[in-house]
Amino acid sequence: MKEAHSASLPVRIVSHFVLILWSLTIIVSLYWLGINSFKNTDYIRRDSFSLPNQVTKAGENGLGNYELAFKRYTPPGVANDKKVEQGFYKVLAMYGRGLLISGIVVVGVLVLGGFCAYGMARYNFKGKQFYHYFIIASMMFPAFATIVPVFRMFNSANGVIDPFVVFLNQTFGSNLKGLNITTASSPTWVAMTTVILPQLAGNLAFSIVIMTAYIRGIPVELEEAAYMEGCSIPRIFFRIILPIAKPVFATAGIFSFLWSFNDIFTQRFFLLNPKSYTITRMMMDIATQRGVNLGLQFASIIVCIVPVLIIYLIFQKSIVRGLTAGAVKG
Amino acid sequence: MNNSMLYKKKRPLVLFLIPATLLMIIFLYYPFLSNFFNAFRTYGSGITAQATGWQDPWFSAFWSPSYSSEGFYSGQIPLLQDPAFLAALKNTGILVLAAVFLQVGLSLVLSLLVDNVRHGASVYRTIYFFPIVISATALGLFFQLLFKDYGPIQHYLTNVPEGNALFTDEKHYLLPLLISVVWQYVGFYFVIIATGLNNISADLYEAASIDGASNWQVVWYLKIPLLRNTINSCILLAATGALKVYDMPNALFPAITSNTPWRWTLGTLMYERAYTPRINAVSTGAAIAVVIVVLGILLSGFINLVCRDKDY
Repeated sequence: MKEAHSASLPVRIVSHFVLILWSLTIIVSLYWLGINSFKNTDYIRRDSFSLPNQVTKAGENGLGNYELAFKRYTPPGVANDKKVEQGFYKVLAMYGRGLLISGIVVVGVLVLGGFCAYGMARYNFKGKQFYHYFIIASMMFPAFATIVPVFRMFNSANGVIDPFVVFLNQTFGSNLKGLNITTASSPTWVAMTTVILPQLAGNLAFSIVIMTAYIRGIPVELEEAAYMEGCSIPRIFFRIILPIAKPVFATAGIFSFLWSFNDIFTQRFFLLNPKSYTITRMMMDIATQRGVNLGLQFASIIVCIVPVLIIYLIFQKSIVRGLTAGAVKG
Repeated sequence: MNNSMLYKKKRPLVLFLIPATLLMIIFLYYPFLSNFFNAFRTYGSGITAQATGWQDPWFSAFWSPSYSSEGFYSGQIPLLQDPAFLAALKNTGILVLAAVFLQVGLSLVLSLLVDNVRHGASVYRTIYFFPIVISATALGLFFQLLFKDYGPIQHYLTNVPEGNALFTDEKHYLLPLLISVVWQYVGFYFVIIATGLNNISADLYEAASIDGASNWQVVWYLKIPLLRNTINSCILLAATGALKVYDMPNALFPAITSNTPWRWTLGTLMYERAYTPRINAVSTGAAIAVVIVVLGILLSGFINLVCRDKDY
């Protein structure tokens, strides 16, 4: 790209050597995970580096680990294998829930964050600077500092009255009782909602910041012309801003997706029933179980990471763009 | 800036801002403030317990003159008198240092190297980024398998007796944690710094070569000074990120008991203290979160002070 400073041949060879060395730590790791996912526990203990050479029946070598993983992923506390086989805990359903949660978070972030970014980029209003700080500051709140009150907010019925509810009752004379929904017996959609809302709020700020910067760079003339033709403001957003700002929306979307999909902290708090587990939440149980089938552990890592890697390879460019935008903004 | 007539009417603006603002107030600002006060309240047992009053003295969740480690103590252990918290503080501190020096250092070296090569830069970038998109929980299990007593690392260290959990004992537990956290995030800062290097104008290199600057001189007197602001933001991101690390230690050290308190980090300890049904669980968890926030502010302030941005 830059001919002016191309390095000499020996320098380039040494550079490639070191760069390949680091790449190997990643590729060999994935390779090691891959080959061992086809072996059984004894085989892995004996020799974890050779290619699997015996393909035997299910539950041992070959595809047995995957069969096991897909058939009966056993969450802890459910010792009875037969119960598990009923199909509740199937991997596909866990993918589905994970994708649904993260998908809703992404759509929410893009629509609500997009609205907010559009408003910030185009309107002048009193307190705009303050509002800007309001958004920036919320990026600094770690999940540790917000999760317990949110949990209590979702569980304020059993005599525990959330100060927020008390405030509403005292101020407006209402008779709100509070919720009691983050329990092991909550329906799956409730559990999923309790994960979606905090994740959505937590991902908004970053997206708003990068989207505002991008929308600000779009020339306003097009919107003015559309307005002259009688186009309403919401229509302008969906018909003009959204198509033009597609790259930044892709970036915000993919980052929200990865953060939400891999965020075990929120999921651990709010997904209490194994029936509502996502693939990431299940991964945590596999990781924390002791003395289990090693081959199954390897296979479950592969099962967990392959879809994310595919999504990454598809959206690579958006990720790189977002990273640099985010870093420049600080 | 733009005073376009179509944006004079403010009514749509309200609709644009309200949903996001409400979400942030309800799920970020309100809980954040509430959490701060919770650190100074007393609670019954468990995470959903009701507040029973205020701590006396007010800093009891952090340090209490009346606490004694002798004998049975049923109440809350003040943080600074809790060996688990002190261990967590130490581990997190080491993680932050490792993040600043190893994560950013390694990625700086790798990105300076990738700037030398003509081909394959995008391939390296793609590969280096793999560990970041993968969930840290899955990677934690991977490192567990790698370092466990039957894992290959112990297997090839011949002087270690079979069945001895070398990398989970008090002397060596940090090694897998540091390696895994550093290894996972090098690609992240690599991409940022490599992009920063790409943005350096070719004219400067030309000028340097006319002046007869050697490779080292170009790196030392041109690239690194020009990367200063990028490196500063990477250091800031790495330090605050390491402070908040949760997934990896959570997956690496699944079962921490009172016999093995040295394996805690601030994040994992916060979850444990808030979620275990004990007296004042809420206020202990809140106090740890307050410590994380305060340390984050102090760290960013310190880093901004030490590595001040420069305009060129």
